[in-house]
Amino acid sequence: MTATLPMLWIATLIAGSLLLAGGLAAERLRQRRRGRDAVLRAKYLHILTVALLSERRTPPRFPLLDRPGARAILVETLVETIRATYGPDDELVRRIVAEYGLDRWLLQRIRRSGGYRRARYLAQLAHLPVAPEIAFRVAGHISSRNRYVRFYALLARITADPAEALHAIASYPTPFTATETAEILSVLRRGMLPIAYVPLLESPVENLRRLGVAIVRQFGIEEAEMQLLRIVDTDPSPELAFEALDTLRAMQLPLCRREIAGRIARLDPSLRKTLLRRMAAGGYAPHVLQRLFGAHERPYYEALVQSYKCTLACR
Amino acid sequence: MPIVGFVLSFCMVATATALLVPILRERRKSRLLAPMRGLACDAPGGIGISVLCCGVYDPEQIRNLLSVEYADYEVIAVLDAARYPEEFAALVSDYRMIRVEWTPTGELAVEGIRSIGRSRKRRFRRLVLVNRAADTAAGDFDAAAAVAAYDYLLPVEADRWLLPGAIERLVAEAGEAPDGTVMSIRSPFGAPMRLLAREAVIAAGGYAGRPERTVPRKRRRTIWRPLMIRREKPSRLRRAAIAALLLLLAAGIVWAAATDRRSAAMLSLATVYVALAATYVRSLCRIPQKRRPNASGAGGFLM
Repeated sequence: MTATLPMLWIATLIAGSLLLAGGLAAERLRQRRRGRDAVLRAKYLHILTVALLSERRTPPRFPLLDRPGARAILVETLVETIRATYGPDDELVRRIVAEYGLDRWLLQRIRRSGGYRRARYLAQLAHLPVAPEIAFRVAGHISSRNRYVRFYALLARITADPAEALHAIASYPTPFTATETAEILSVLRRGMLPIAYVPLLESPVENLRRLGVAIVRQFGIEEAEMQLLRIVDTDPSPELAFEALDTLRAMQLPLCRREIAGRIARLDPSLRKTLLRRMAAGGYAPHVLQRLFGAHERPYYEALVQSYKCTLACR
Repeated sequence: MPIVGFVLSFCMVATATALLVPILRERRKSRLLAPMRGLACDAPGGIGISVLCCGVYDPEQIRNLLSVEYADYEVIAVLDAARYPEEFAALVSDYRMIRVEWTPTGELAVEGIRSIGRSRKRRFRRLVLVNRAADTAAGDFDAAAAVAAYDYLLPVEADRWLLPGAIERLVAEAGEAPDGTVMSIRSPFGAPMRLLAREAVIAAGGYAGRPERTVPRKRRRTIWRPLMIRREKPSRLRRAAIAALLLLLAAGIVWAAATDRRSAAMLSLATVYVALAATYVRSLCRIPQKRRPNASGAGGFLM
C-alpha cells in the first residue's frame, strides 16, 4: 500500500502534466492561427456583405470552409452581422445556414460540449434564422443546471419558433435577470419577436410581466402608464415593482400618485436612495419628492436636487 | 519519508489546479458574453458604473477611461488644482469644463472639495472634474463617491488602463443576480481592481473603512481575467521574490532527493505541473503587446 500510493500519485502527476502540455500546445496553435482567422473572417464578411447588398437569392460560395475552425468563423460572422444590422435579408441568411448545414453543425456542437461553451453555441443558434423544428431539439437544455445554457436554450427556442414564444417564456423556470431581459430585447428590436406589451403586462407570469415592463421602457410607451401603476401597486415581486416604478420615472411621467407613494413607503432604504438619485438626475422637482418621501429623507433629496446634476438636467 | 514529498507536491498541484480551473471557466464565459449587444446599448436594470479616479493626471488615461461605450457610465477625476495647476488647466481647457453647483448629501464625510466641474461638450458629459486638496487616496475616492451618480463604484489609480469590454463584463456580472445582490466584483489579474456597490462603501464609512471586507462572501464575485492593465513593468522586488521562491523550491527538491527518491520524483513532477499551469495561465491571460492601449481604447487589445 505504501509503495502503491506514491506510484499512483506520480502517474497522476505525469498524466496531469501531459494534459496541461496538450492544452498549452493547443492554445499556442490557436494564437498562431489568430492572424489567419482574422483574414478569413474579413473575407467571409466581405462575401456576405456583397451578397446581402446585391439582393441575390442564391447563397454565395465561402472558400476554405473545410479548414479547421472555418465553419466556426462563418457562424460567428453571420451572427455578428445579424446582431449588428437591422433588416438584413433573412431569406438569404436562412439559405446560407441550410446550404452549409450550419444549424446541424451547431446542434452537434451543442450536444458534444458543456457549460459555457454549450451556452455560446446555443446563443449563436438563437441568432441564426433556423427552421422551427430546431425549437424542439434545444428544448431539453432549458432544464440545464447552468443558468446561461438554460437561458440561451430558451432564446434559441423562441427565435426558432416565435409563435410559441410566450408559452416558452411562461414555462421558463427561473426569473429573468437584467442582462437576460436586455438580451431578449435585443432580439425583439430586430423584429424576431412580437411587441404586444399589453398581454405581457397583464400576464400572471412574472417573467412575462418583466419583459412587458422592459418593452415599455425600451420603446417609451406612455400608454402603458395604468398597467405600470397596477404593477407598482400590487405586484408580489418587489424587484418587478421597482422596475415598473423606475420605468415610469425614466419616461418622465407624473409620480405623485397614491400607488407610487404606497410602494415607495414599502421599498428597501437602499432602493429608495437609488430611486431618489435617479429622480433627482432626471430633473423631478423638489415638491414631487416631498410628497413621495418622508421628512427624514428631505436633506438627502434637497442636496441631490440642488446639486450640479439637477442644474445640468434642468438646463 | 515519501509522505512529506506527497503532501508538498499535493499542495502545489492543488493550488495550481484551483487557480487554473476558474481561469478556464472565465475564458469560456467571456467568449460567451463578449458579443452581448443588449448590454452595450441598454444598461440593463439601470446598472450604472461610476469610475473614481485618484492621481490620474495623464490626459491619455482619461481618454481611455472615457472611451467606454456603455450607457450608464461616468468618470469622476479628483485632482488638486493647487498642486498640479498645469495639468488641471489643461483638462479644463481640453474638455471645456464649467463649474457647477454641488451640495454634499452627508452620506460620506467629505472635506476639501473646492469645486466641481462638468464638460460643456455633450460627448464628454460623462466626465466630472473634482478640484480637491489632496491628502489620501481614500479621501479622494470618498470625494468622488460622494459626487457619483451611479450604484457601482470603481476606484482607479494612476497608470491603470481599462481593457475593451471590461465595463460590459462587470455589468454582465452585476446583472447576473437580482438587483443589489452583487456588492463586490474583483479582478485579481493585470492591474487588480474591485467594483463595489455604493451601499457597501457608505456602510463602511468610506474607502478608509475597507468596504471590500464588510461585504458578505456570498455577495462577492471574482472575474478571473484581467480587466485593467498597467504599463509599468513589475518591480525588481517582485522579481526577486519570485526568484527566491524558485530557489527555495529547488532546495526542497534537492533535500528530498537526498532523503528519498520517490519524494524527489513527486516534487519534481509537481514543479513541472505548476510551471506548465503557470505558462498556461499566462497564455490564457495574455494581452497582445504589439498594439499598446490607445487613447480611443477601441481595438487596442484583443480580449
